[in-house]
Amino acid sequence: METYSQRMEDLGDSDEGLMQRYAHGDALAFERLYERHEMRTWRYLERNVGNRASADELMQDVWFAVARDAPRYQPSARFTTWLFTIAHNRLIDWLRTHRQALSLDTLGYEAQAVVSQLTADTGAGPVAAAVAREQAIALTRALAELPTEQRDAFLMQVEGDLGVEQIAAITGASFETTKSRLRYARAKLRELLEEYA
Amino acid sequence: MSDMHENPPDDDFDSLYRRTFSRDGDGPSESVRRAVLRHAAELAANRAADLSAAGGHAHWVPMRAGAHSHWRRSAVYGTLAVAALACLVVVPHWLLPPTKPRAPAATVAKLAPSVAMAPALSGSAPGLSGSAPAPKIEGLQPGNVSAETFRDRRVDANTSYYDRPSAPAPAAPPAPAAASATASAAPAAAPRDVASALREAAETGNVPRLRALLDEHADVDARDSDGRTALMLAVINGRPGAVAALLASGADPNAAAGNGTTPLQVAEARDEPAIVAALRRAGAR
Repeated sequence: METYSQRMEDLGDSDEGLMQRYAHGDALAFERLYERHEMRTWRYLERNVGNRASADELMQDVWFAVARDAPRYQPSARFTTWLFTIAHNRLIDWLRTHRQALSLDTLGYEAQAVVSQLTADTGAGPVAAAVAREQAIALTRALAELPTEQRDAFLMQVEGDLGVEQIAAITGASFETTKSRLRYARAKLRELLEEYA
Repeated sequence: MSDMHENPPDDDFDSLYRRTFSRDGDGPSESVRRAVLRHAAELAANRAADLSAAGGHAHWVPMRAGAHSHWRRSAVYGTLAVAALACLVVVPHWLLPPTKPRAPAATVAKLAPSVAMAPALSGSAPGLSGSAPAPKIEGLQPGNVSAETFRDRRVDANTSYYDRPSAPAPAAPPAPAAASATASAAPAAAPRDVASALREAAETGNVPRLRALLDEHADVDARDSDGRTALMLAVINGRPGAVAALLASGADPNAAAGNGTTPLQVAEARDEPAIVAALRRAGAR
């Protein structure tokens, strides 16, 4: 006969399994889940709001909500979809409150800090370092110039590995609108990269 | 997932994005991390306490070997007793001629001595495992619903609910014995196909497909004839998205190919900083 512990182990290390384990009181399962998704959540938030302090605030808010709502999570939905739904909603609330359109000026020092970190100690020689630095600067600036909805959709896809349908469901936009946002985002990023690089 | 196939992300551009930010060591401040994990641990402790108090399953504690041996012994004996009782009730239904009226439970017990049960049970096992057709049982008629239902339930139990936690529970079809044998034989061939598909998705950088296969519990570390895992193929072909997806799903970052080359060695030789960083973060040596 399968024991409860065996059943829990059978849930495995998938995101969904870890969530179920956490909902039953397994704190280590949450820790693993957090480790796994920490960076992507962080990058999604930080690149949308443009500064560390706000991203920290949102990050804590999002993961507190994940922990609190774990018992209500249905494993039929992919965890990343659920996670990015929470992150997106918190982000929208934050943007409504702050009404702070991202621009190069608002990114300012923060963007430079990110770029410095990205390009520090590449270990790949000075030429490669210079290329990487220029690319990072160009991409950071290009991201900051995207309209909020396009940047949001693009970051959800590239950081959350979400599909068009999932992003549409999260943002409440139609499938076609979401597809257009992603297409425009990439086209604009390409254009800006050519301009900056 | 179908939407992703319709609209595959721009792999080149996404690769550029990931490569550019591959060494992005930036992340939330340590205080946020501590606050989140502390909060989660407190909630977990509360939930475990609530579950224990409610008489439900206690908090998640992996059982130590030898622990609760008394409970386990009771569970084993209890299971055997229930199985024996089920045999006493059901097996005579299979063996009785159809013309006979169903005997009351007390009579059934008399008609099914324990000596007669052994061959009946051993005969039913091959049918369930798929290694041989289910034995023909005289007296089993389409109208004998209880026997069919019992057998179907056992086949359902073999397909384990926990194999696919996210799939909707299918309605149990009234499977005949031959169909049951075919169904239970299928999984033997399936893993090879899924593993090949996984390696192909990794090789081509088809991340949505890769994730779909991983969601189907494909063996992430299955190897091809050269001993290469899906991760190794993703590295060889410079697919950072696939590498990230495989590592996130628990792929072994140190799984060397048959010739002894590790994924990290290949990534370094290819000068793929994004992949090297991802592998190192996952513990590659």
